[in-house]
Amino acid sequence: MIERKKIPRGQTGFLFVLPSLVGVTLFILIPFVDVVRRSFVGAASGIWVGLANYQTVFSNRAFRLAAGNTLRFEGVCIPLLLVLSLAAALLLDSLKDHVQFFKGCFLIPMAIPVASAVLLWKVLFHERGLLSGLMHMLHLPEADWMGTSWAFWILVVSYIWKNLGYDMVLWLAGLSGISPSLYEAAQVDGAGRGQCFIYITLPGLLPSLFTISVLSVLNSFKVFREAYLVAGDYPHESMYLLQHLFNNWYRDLSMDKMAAGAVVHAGAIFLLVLFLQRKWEG
Amino acid sequence: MRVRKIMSIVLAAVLSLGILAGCGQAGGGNEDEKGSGDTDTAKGRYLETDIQLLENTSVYSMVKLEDGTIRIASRDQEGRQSVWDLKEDGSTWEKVYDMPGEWKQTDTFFVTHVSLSPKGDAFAVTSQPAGQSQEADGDMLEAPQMEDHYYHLDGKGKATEVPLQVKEYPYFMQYTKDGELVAQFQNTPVSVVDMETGELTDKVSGAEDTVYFGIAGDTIYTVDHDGQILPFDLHTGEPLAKDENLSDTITQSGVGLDLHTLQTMPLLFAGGKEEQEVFYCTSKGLYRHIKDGDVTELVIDGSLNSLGNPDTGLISLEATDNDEFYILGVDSQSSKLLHYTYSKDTATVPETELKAWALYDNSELIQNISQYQKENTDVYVDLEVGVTEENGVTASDALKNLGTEIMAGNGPDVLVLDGLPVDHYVEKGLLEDLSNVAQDAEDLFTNLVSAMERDGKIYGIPLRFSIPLVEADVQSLEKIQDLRSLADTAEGLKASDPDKYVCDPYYDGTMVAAQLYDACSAAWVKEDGSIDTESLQGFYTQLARIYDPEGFVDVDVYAFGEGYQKYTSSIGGDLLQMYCDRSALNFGNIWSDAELAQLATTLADKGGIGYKPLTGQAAHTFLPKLMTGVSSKSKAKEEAKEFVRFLLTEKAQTANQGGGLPVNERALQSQMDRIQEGTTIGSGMSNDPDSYVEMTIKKPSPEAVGQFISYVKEADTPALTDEIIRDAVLSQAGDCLDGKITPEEAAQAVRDKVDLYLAE
Repeated sequence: MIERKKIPRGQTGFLFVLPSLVGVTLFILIPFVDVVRRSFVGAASGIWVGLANYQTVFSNRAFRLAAGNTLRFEGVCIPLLLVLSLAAALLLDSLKDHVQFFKGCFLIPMAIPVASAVLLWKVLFHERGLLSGLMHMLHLPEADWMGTSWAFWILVVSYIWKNLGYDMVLWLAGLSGISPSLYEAAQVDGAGRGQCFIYITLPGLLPSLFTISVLSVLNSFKVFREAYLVAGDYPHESMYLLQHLFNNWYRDLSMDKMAAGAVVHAGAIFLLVLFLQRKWEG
Repeated sequence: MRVRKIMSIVLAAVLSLGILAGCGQAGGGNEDEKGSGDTDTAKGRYLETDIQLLENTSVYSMVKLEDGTIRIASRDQEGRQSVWDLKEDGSTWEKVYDMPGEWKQTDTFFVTHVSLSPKGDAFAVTSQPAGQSQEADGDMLEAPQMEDHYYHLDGKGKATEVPLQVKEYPYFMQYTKDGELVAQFQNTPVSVVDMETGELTDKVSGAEDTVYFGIAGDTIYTVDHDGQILPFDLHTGEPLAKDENLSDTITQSGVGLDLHTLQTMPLLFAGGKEEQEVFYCTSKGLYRHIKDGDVTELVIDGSLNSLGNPDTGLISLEATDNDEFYILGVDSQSSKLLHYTYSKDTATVPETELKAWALYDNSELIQNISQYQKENTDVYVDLEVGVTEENGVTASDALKNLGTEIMAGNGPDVLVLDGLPVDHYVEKGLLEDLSNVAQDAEDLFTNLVSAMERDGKIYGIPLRFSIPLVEADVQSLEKIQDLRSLADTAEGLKASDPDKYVCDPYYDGTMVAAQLYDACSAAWVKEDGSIDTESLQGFYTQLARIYDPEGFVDVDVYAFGEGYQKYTSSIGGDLLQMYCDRSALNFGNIWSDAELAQLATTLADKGGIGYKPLTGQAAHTFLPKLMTGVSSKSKAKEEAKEFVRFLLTEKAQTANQGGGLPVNERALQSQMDRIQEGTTIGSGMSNDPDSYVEMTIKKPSPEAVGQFISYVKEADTPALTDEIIRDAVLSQAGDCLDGKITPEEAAQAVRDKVDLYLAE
């Protein structure tokens, strides 16, 4: 009879994570170490250049513009998305009928392929598109919407339209984790709806807030697909994001600048995640 | 247990190493493979040689006689037709007979077709005046009505007219091995011609949609408008079961089966020694197939010889009993008789492979590669094109793919730099200095090559170029010294003669801007690399004075990519309009010897008209094209440089597909020498019959050629070749010239976009 050795409880979890960890290590961590190495060497020569690539990147107008736009985009989109999706989740949570139907409606944008969304953008925001047609009917000035500073706001709306349903579902999951008995007890003590929201709902959602925020930040980088397919390598300055720059640097074989920029970018996201974790989870 | 554990560890290690081995650089062995001979290399390949044809002759057709002799029918430079046999030495010709002396070609008499029979007789078609002029609308037509006559020639050249029952233009004809003439005339099915009665009998049944046909053994293969290849029995004419493998192989090869002329076909057939053997030839190569078999074998790879040359048109194919092949073809210069013999000592696949990369397809380059491989049988030049109609890849994505290959160590050896971020490549040391290659080259326009120097090094050599010119009456021409004086002159001409236009009415603002782009763009980038907004604003301001949006006739113009750039910047579109006094001013780039011939004809026929290089916002400008460089990462740098040296030779530079003028002076001279006097060209819009104009070309005089070459030798300032800047400038031109934005706003918009690009 073969004697089976029991695996200690703590190690079981590790074994489950192991396949994923191996993948992440092979395809993300090790390549990233190479990126860090490349950020200190010349693009094609491979000669050590110290911090020269970082100096080049920080003095590069295109990088500063792209980083600024990306920060602005995150700064506008993430709070807006969190608030709107929470409002939608609360609204849906309070509904008694047709909850599934509305949930489905909010999730439809996620199911629309990028190519179709891009086509929609073009039809709507082209100089002679539907929006311009509407403006014309209202005797208002038409515009090449994607070629003006409106482009940034179109990008914001697009991002929120696409991700509202997803965040809303996450909030609903958080809401379902709050015990109804807390609300009942509060109501018995005479608390109003506002007080219930401030003192029960919000604190109860705080653990979800971290996850939803991080996922929203990561999803926000995916909006580049639409932006690139609509406006190409060089969109209007207001929607020129870090991904545009990295994409163009890759085309021009500027691996040195790209590596330094990527390290800075990754570092910024890492710090943001740590900050949020400490603030909302810790 | 211990054994199982050890086994597990070993297996895991092997698996891990296997995975990691896959990540290793595959180039480990490549270094040895490139440029060095491998003793185990498979040997045996068909090699191509040109059989010398009689000097200045044009060949109508070729046939293999029953005794195996190769026979051709040709026309000499005097216009006389003869039939010749290739002697056993395979290089000299023996005259069999002259065709009737009265068939000598004149302006009104032509022998249009000659088909040779394997039994020795022949069939010829002449085109001659009908003998009377016809009256139309009360006016006598100057040109006589032409009609075709058909003749049978016996083995000694005695011609007997065949009273053919149809008077239609002949398309294709071919004798069968039994001496029966199968022909296809306009509006007739594939038919057999009775030489005595002139009666046409349908040869195949149920093939009314046939475009052309070929014969192999006892089978006729017809190609219809849908590109279907249908077999018919040669004797009964009945359709045979479709040869699926043959049909699929041909149609899936990507050969354009509809691309034929009145002389050449994209697909030729020939029978072999064995009854069921079929040989066919396309631009992809020569193939062997057994009728109704499942296999088609590539016998001669077209990419290694003239078959893959886009300039080669195929006329006829013969396979000999000793497994050799003869292909009669024609290129833009002359007839070619190509002979293929098997060399058992030559490597099956060339031992040296050179990888070339170009963003866009280029016919001249393909032609040059074909020439180079023919001369260097041990070299295979593999051209990869980034953006093609088939792959649908954007230029940006193609450049990223190229970058990936370069960084992975699998990049190309030779790079065509048009459309590539050359500054970045130079900055990163990815391009070799080609100064030595430029110095070695003979008869180059050194000014054009030297203009590409950066820090004393040449990283890219243009193989072609175009220069901006302006054409006008001599007095106006004298006044034009820069863009402002060009605008002054244009306004003056518009005011003095409103019936003539100064910009092509079918050109919108973007296209007119493109015509002036290369004469101005060199002035728009400051020394620090940023855009000179003031200069750019000046460009739009003067352009607005020249262009008349009121006169624009909106018609759809469909053109793409490189072709679009050439089309829009060319001076060629309006050369005829100047010739016919419809236009008072013409400007743009000259791209070809044909355009220069038109200019020279205008100067010769019209007094008081002249041309000169256009000085816009910069002087002595030219547009470098087909810029070629060698990768510093290449493992075969010397071979790559040798290839570039070849590209600069007169022979390679004489290739002419309209992609620009050659940078080799002798090649340019040679192109001019070959211009055919008397060719009539015309143009007009289909919706406006009155717009039709024509010109009969005159060969440019040595003085005219000399003058043009002296202009070329003054050019030393390359126009901006960056496509992102070009797109940005031209994209604002339309709105600016239509008055939607001011020149200042247009210049600012370009700056906003381009500065970002330059800042990267």
